[in-house]
Amino acid sequence: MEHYLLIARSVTHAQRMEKALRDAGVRGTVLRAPTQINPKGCSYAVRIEASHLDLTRTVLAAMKVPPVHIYILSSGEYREVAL
Amino acid sequence: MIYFDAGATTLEKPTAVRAAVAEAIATMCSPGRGGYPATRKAEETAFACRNEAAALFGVDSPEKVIFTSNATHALNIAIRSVVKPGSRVAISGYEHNSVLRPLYAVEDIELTVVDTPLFAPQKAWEEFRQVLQKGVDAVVCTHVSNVFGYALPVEEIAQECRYSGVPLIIDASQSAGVLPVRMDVLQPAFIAMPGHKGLYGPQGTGLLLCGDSPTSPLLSGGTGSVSRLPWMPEDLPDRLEAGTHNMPGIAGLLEGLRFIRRTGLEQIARQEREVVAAAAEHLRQIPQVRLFAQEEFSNQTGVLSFVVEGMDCETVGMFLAEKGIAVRAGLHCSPLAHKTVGTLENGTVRISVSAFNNVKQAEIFARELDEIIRENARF
Repeated sequence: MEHYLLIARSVTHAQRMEKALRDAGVRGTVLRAPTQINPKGCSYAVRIEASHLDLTRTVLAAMKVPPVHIYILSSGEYREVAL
Repeated sequence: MIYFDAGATTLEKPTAVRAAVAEAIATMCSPGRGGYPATRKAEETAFACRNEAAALFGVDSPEKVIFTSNATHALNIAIRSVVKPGSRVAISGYEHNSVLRPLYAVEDIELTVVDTPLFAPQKAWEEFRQVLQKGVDAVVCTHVSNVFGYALPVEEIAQECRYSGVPLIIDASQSAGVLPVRMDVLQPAFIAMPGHKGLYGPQGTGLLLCGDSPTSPLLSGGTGSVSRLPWMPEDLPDRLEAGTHNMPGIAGLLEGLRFIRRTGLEQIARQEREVVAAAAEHLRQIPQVRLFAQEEFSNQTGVLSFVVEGMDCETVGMFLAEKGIAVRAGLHCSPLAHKTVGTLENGTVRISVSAFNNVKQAEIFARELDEIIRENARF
């Protein structure tokens, strides 16, 4: 299923993003980021449904916890999208 | 036993602290190291603890709440971050060795000790202002003396540091969990505190609250993040938290922080002052006792030092221990504070209380001390 991964600086940063989204009614899941989109090694991400991207951007910008990168999983491949 | 050594470690903890430690040992592993339930639970607990601390201490982000092993560990990170070789540093005359020794370990520092009298906050404020006007690179100041319970005017000192643009490190070892300690109000570079004293967490826990100053890691190692980098990450909290976390300690500390929130700082401070004020009232009736106490405890927390004329302080402590009363005697790892007050040669006996002590215990303590002095005088 198509979804976005919001890459975090640390697990704590991922948790802050997830909490900010939860408070705004957006469900996100904290998880380890796949190696292929993780060139520096070992990071965390928040997975959200594709339909929530616009609201997610707005919420995270307002809460001053923007992700480091955003990737979309589409057709089995991750592709970076603009923040 | 009557436990009057909370200034070292609060022995009596909320029941929830003990339960949380036991549960963490059985159910949690390392946060930031995996995607399975035992790591997720550890991550959620650590995050909850950071958030609880951030709320209590006015920190604008849980990422600026760093887990340490104790206040000494936190102070070492803070001092390493702020104080460089050749720095000019001002400290109060009431600092613990956890401040002094890390400072002395820095090469060529120029140390100014603001050694103003006990329970004279106005004087301390004025002298810090003068020292800042002469020019220093950093200030390190304890909030409350661990020997005398003297609450220094950190709000005013912090204000002077802000005016002068000088980074301030606050040692909140004796004030965290008792007095208001707010990053958003004081705006220091760092505040360091133990988890095992006034926060009612287990030993082996501490917190470093970070402002916006650059940080220098004390330890390097695994963080579970950006693992290909050969150096520590730039981002907090990972930058200052190398190695596996003390999850049983953090889980216990979380419950200790929740206990403080439920009980309220004012209630804890009031109760502690009532106990030491009761002890002081009784001790004033014993002619051989010399007390270091304010009448109204307006700038004094639940810590009270005294000496018994003609008796060694360690001997007094030993006699009290034999009667089931736990106190601390000697220099309390704070020779500078004793030097400032003039008790360096013989030290003092210190009682220090927590939210789990009461006035009745203070009365028993004073009665037993009176008896010890009478027995000692007889022989």
